[in-house]
Amino acid sequence: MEPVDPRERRLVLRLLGHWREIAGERDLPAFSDVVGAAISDMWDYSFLIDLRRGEPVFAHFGAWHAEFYGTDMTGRALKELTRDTLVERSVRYLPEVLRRRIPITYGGEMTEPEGRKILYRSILMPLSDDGETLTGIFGGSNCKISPDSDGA
Amino acid sequence: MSLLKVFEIHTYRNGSWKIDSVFDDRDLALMEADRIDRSNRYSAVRVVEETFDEETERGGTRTIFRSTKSERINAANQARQQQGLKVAAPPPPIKPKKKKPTISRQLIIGTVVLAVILIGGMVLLEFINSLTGVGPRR
Repeated sequence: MEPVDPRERRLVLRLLGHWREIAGERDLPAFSDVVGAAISDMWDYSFLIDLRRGEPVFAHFGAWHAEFYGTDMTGRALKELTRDTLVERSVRYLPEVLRRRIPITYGGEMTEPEGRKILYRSILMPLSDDGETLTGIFGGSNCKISPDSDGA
Repeated sequence: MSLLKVFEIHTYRNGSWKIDSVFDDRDLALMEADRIDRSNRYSAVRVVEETFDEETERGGTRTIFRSTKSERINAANQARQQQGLKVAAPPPPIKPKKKKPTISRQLIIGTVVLAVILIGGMVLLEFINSLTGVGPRR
């Protein structure tokens, strides 16, 4: 796969490029293929969802997300997320990714509970250790806060 | 009225199209399709726009990007389909092959024919002798 152009600044395309790179010839990369050190510039904006325990939980919750959300959700279940926050919107379409087993990216404009109006973009990409059962989701998101936002 | 749009990247490999990824942003989908196309990992790539009108509950699809390779594949698929529609000429009937008699069979037949001629000749001679009275005295 052609490496992501270093001039490409869009987080979701860079994360997708990395996902394709670690997948190699396989349809899906394995959970253990996602290593923070390999994407140190994107790791803070990323999250890793572990599906192996039944209840989806965050195995990794990027430092930028922890600060923006206000809590480090590492080890916590997705269902604990406050509704209509950036990260909750970023994982809301998880069922669609589980069903279709392909990377999906959604974005848009939204207002967070604190009144922050943001323009965001997110991506969720499936992971599988055996090529059949999905064992995790590699994702990421970032946003721009609107200048006329209440929370800005 | 709310018109929902998503953009699917389709990749072609091993003789079939597969949905590779889904975007809600046209520009991102086109950029990613271009990157996939340049990677040469897949035979071809295309971007399909799917629309759904929530008010009328009607949707549609159209291809907004095709790699040059995908155009060639589509043309080849169409040609194959057209060929498949033509009625193929029935194969010629298979004629049963005549078995050539083997040497041993020929030999048996020849011997039998010769024996019939000899015995027949002897019987005929005996018959003529009995009529003319010529022949060995008994």
